Amino acid sequence: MDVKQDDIRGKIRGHDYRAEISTDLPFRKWLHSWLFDPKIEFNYQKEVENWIALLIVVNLMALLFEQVPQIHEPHALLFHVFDIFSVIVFSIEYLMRLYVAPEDEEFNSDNKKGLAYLRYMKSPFAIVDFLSVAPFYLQAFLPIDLRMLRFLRLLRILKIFRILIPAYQQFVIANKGRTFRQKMHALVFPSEYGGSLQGLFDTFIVVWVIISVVSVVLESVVAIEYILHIQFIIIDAIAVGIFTMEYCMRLYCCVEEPGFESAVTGRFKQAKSSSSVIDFLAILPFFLEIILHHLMDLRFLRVFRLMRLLKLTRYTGATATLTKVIAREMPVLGASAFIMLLLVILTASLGYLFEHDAQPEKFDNIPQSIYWAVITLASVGYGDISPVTAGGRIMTIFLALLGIGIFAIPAALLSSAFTDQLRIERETLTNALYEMLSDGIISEEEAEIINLEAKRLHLSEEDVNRLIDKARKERELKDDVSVLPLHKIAATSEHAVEHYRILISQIRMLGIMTDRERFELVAIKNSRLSDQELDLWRQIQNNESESSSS
Amino acid sequence: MANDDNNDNSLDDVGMTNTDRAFLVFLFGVLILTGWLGYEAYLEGHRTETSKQSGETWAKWLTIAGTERFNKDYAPSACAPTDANSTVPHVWGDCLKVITTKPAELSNLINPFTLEPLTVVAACDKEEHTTTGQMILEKALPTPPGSAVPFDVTALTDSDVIDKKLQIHITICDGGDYPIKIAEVEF
Repeated sequence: MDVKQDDIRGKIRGHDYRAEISTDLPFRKWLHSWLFDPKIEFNYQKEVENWIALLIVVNLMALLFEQVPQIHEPHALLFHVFDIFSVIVFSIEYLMRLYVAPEDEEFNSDNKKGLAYLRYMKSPFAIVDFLSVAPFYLQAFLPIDLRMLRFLRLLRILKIFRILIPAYQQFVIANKGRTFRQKMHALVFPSEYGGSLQGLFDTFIVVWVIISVVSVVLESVVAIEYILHIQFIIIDAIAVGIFTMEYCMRLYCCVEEPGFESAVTGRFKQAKSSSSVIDFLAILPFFLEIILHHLMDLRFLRVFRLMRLLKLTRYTGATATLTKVIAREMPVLGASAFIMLLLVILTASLGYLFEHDAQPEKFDNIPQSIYWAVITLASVGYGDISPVTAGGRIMTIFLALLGIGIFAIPAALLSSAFTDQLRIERETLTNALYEMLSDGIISEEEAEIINLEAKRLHLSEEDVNRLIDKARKERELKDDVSVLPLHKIAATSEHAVEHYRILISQIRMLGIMTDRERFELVAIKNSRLSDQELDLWRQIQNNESESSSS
Repeated sequence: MANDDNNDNSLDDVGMTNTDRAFLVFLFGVLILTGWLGYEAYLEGHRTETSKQSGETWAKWLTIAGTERFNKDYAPSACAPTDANSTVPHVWGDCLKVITTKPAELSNLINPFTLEPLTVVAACDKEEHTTTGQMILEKALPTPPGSAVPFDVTALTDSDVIDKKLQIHITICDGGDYPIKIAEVEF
């Protein structure tokens, strides 16, 4: 059992799990295994790639900002320091990759170290890596035109192909023999065929959502908008182009999703989904403002570009959990809102009654008093309107105390329901584990499902192990049905048969362990057993004797 | 109708169907449209940038003039303070006329939205859109001590006397006739 259990735990990891790489390995192999070997799961290879990719993106942005004299000139030193930092990081990466090249089968198939270095240096990725840092060192010896230098620095973006090409190759293999639309579906929707290219597609969209939202926020800063007006227009146009393409692709290939198969109604269903509506609203202001600007002033729509932030909800389970919680608690929240509404109207009316004569300009009518009522009941208390009469003040004391409790109800409801939902989701995972453990083995597919769920629920390795233990104990409990109450056993025919078998076995055991003659004597003498019961006893014991003798 | 014709699961690569091709053409069309609209937005942004540059040119000229026009024999004389011998005070209208008449430096500035010479207006007109790309010049006069605002900003009119230093706010009207503040200069 222990071996099997270790095997299960070997497959399932929490989000904080790390690969176990022996420290006894030679340093170069150890380094390669930890940082660069894509075949070892849960090492730091993906992190290294991601951080390098991030640095490439930041480099690209720095290059763009350098084109704006108002930004570059006051911060020239900062840009230069960042450039040096980038070159140092990229150089270290290049040298480390060169150092560990003999550990890579791709470059060291014949076990010749010198050739491995040479093969690595001649590989396309290494050439790109070299070109991304070479101009920096070259300018120390040769006078290079600044524009040329900036152009050469653009080559750094080619480093991104180190991530893209393997992902693309993996995608092509996984989608061999599939249709164009199925491939598109694999690219834009999470599926078993998407692989890391689908992850990169999602990351690309997320990055553009962030760039776009940051742009919208910065546009509201007059000093920044004045300098980067054109850049913001370009960013917005590119973002809309990308989001429009994504929206069209999702609508086209959604028919590959289960439940969306119909060409018309499936797409209509997809278009009606909350994520699609958000996608549509994210691009709509751009088209409306440009197409209709001759007819009406639609500049106010620009603020709705901030809704692009909602596109990120697609990539997190937290919002789905919150939506479920709100939907589940809607009746209670509705009741709570009704009580709050009653209290607000009552407070506003009383405020008007007590204060109207004393402060007619502030408590002119009940609708005007509602503002004061909400601010008081919600414990905000701006103080711009306050009661001055004795009656008004006494009433405010009671209502403010009441308001603390009433206004806290929705927050408490949501908070407890959210915790409850998380508990339910963890129990669902436990039940899934329980089912998976029915054969005592967790397959690779099952382990993958559990790993994904553990990641979604932010469970650590310890949490997952605890759930496995819980599921295992429940499974063991199920195996021993005798400890269950009789009505629970009777509920399942399999359990009932198993229980009957155990009971018969126990009767046989009793016959072996007790003095049979004396048993029958007592049973007959005191009429403790009916004839039928005694016959059954004899039948069971005789069968046992016959089977033993034979 | 359901699921068109895309259900081949053989291991050979499946080519594109006519529906796929039609979708790609549509997608290409949408991207062209987005690109064109983006280019239109860029052009309008570029026109706004040109207007801003015109405003900055005005700000530069007014700043230099603000430091030199009190010198003796400053030219154009209409922009200098009134002579001690003169009975008619120098006003902004005369100065504006001189500096916006060829071959003066500021006379070459063009409104990029109308491709006509840049003119000075009183305010941006968001309703009628008649002031797109035009410029607003306002004077800021200090308010009496204790006032809620330190300056009272009003349009610089032709009859304003320019004998003393003036705080001038320069604003341009963008493509949607929204004001964009360019600079505050001392003239």
